[in-house]
Amino acid sequence: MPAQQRKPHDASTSDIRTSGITRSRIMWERLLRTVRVHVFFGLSGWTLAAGMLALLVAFPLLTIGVSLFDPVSDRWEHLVSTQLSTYISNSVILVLGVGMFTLLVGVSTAWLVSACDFPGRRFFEYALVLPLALPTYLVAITYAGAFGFAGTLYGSVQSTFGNAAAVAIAGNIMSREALIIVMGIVLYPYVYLISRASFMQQSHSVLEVARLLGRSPGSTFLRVSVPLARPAIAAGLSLVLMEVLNDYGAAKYFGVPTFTTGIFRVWSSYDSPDAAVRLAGMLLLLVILIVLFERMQRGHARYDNSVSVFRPGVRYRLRGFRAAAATVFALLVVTVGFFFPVGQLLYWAAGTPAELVDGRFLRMVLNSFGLAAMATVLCVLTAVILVYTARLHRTWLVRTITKVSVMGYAVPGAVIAIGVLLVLSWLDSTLEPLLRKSFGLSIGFLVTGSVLTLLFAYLVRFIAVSFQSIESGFQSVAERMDESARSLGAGGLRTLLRIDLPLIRGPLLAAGLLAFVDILKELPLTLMLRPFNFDTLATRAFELAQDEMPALAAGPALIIVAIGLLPVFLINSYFTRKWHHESAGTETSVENVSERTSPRG
Amino acid sequence: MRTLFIDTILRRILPAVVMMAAFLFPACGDGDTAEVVNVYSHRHYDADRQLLEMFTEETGIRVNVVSAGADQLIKRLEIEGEKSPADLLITVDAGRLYRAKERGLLQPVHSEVLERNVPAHLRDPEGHWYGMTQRGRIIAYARDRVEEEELSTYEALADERWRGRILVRSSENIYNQSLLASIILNRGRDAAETWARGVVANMARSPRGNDTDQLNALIEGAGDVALVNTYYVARLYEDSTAEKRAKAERVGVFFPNQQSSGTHVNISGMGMTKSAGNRENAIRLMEFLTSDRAQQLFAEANHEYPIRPEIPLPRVLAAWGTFRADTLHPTALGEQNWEAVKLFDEVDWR
Repeated sequence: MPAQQRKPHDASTSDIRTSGITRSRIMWERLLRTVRVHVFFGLSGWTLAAGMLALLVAFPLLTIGVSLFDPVSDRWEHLVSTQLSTYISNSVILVLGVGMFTLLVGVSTAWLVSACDFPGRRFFEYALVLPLALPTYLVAITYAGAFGFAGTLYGSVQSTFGNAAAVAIAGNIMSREALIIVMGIVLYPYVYLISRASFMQQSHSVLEVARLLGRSPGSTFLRVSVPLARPAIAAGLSLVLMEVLNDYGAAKYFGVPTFTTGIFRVWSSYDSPDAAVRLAGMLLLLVILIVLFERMQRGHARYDNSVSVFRPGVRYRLRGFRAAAATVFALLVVTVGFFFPVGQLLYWAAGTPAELVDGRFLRMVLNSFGLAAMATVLCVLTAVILVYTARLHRTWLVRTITKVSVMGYAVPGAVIAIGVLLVLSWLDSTLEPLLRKSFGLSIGFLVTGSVLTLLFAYLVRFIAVSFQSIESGFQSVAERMDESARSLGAGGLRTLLRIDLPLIRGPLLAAGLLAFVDILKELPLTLMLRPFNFDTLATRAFELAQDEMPALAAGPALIIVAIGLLPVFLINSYFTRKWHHESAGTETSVENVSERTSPRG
Repeated sequence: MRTLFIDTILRRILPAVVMMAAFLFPACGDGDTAEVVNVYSHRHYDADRQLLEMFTEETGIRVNVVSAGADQLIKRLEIEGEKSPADLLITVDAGRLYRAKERGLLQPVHSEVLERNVPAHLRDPEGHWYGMTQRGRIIAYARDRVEEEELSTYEALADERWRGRILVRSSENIYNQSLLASIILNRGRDAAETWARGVVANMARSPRGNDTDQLNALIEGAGDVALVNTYYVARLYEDSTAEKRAKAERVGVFFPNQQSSGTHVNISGMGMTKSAGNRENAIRLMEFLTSDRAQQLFAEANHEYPIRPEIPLPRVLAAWGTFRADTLHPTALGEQNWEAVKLFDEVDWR
């Protein structure tokens, strides 16, 4: 890295020497370099870049927020007087139920695999992430398809437990309570992944002190680890809650009227997209409240480790009943969240003619993968810039801007699509006359309806996923680290690249992973904004499922799952390998880092 | 030796992403100037795909498609405005086409072929949209628990004898909305309200799932009658597994209101967008979709009813015989849509 950075410098000085250009040229070069450094990498540069990015991302959301001030139509009043209270109460119950569920399952499994040892731990480290690869609506369909009337397992339930039991189960498989479980079991990995990354990052000396002072494992978990991991747990939880609020497919299928199904009812049945956007604006307010509440709770506490000594924590070796209970619990979670739905999909896929793996199919795979990869890079980069700027400048303005820009995750994709289309078509119509005048080009749309539209929309929608993970990662890196680097003369960018990013590589990878899998599964945005003849695996699976033929959708769905699993495994293995590697050695990361940052050559 | 984390990203991951981008972008630029027609469609059936391929083979005109929900496509058309690349909007019910027309997104088309192929009550009087296929909203009943003689009209489903026996999906569904709109038009608002209240009181369970779920619940005895569209029943009869087909035998199909207004039908249709840049091609595609061959394929592959009575029906549909359809104009139904939705909310039909 240092060698690369010096190249331009060496080149320019040798250039100057050989060609003997005058002093003024040298001065000019210097001036340019200073300006460049200050504008792009210096203090003001960070704020500028972050501000512009955040504004860009926030713009579509602001168009939604503005709708709150529009005059009220009679259709809106009708909504308020009839159905709105049902939407609110159902959404609140879902948020509370799924929130509790994911907290319990996500945090406990994360702790089990990162601090304890029990049979199958290595396997569960991977397996517990698996439900992430499944879209919620798909899991809802598989459970209804298995236990519902005429379902795959309906007959066996009937013969084992009697007709009454089968009818009772089938009658309740599509209910609000069942929806809480379905959502919880699919969404807990957000909490699991981010809090596991945090548990692993926790300084084991702190935990060892707790142990030496006589704390039991349970007490260490509750009194030391969980409080220390709180920003991470909160980050994961807020992702879960936003995901619950924006879910449409599963809630609609189960017939549970929520805020989001309400948004679509208002849009399509009331024929009032504006009222729908207004509802979405209210949803945003709800999310802001959740975020504020969490902030207030946390107060001014800070959670960083001043000594980042990643030494081998000695795992609690669980024995006998406890070990068995841990294994059974983890197995149950993975089975309900992954193996069962996938089994149902496999059963369906086996009974239906396979879709031909032809050119069109490969194209779909490529589209899905390429789009998700590019959007992930965009999301992670943007999130790093936003978080880092907020870290450099703890000002009210910077924080507010960054907070607003991550609200998109709670808004249903189709509503974001409206905002994105409004912004981009405005951009296009301002660009068009310019292009026509200067180049004589008449091109219709440049951005709208292209892959760029999708990328932008994904950024708006999924920046939160990367942001939450990266922000919680940064919170456990002591600012003293940054300060030391800065006082030794490293600039903002250099500190970021050489100190911070290597230290938060766990959360960074988690950020990329979450975003990638989420984008791969994304549906409403992709459907509405895609270019002509542009299919992804998700849109294809949906088209088939939509047609009330879930069995036909099973094939593409399984491939989405398989492809979603690939990066899950790669990143997860990187994660755990590094971790085991580090745990095995006695050297400390701090030494490595300082070695890396010391000037070389 | 550990490689630097950042280096890994710069050297391995970024180039891979850039390569992906290179693959992805040519896919969306239409460099050639061949004849095309651009379609926004809510229909995503394989039959449609097959038909569009046939059209390209026959005429050399390439068909570009974006398929998504009708409401989303209409909103996209609206924002894109006069520069929208779309030439044709295809939806699964006429109500959406009525909305698109109301918003000034469609333009009139006059073609002898279309006017000959599409009966007057299945198209817009000014030619803004034309019907493509139709589907009946019928009463499916459990043969072992319900005698056909017990059934007569939609209105009769509000009768107390059906308490706890009716299966039907949510009122968010446009087919239910159009049905209620037709009852409002045929019987007046008060009668429609009484009806909706009666049906809600008679429901076997609160609405959930889709039409196929209602049929499955009917088969297993969770209810005795279900309001569903014809092609879902036809599909069940033709299921690939013998076990399912045997179970489907338990379901009977009844076309209600034969002595009065006729069975309610909903229409899938198409309209040319105001922004259409490929007018001639779009008209050719519209004409093709109403041709005998296309109509037969809709009926055979998708079990939808053709728009003209003289097209031969596939075996399943033919077995149900002919029926009298309600000829209320879709425009009238579209105008009553909001009334219907309000009514549903008032009687708390989810």
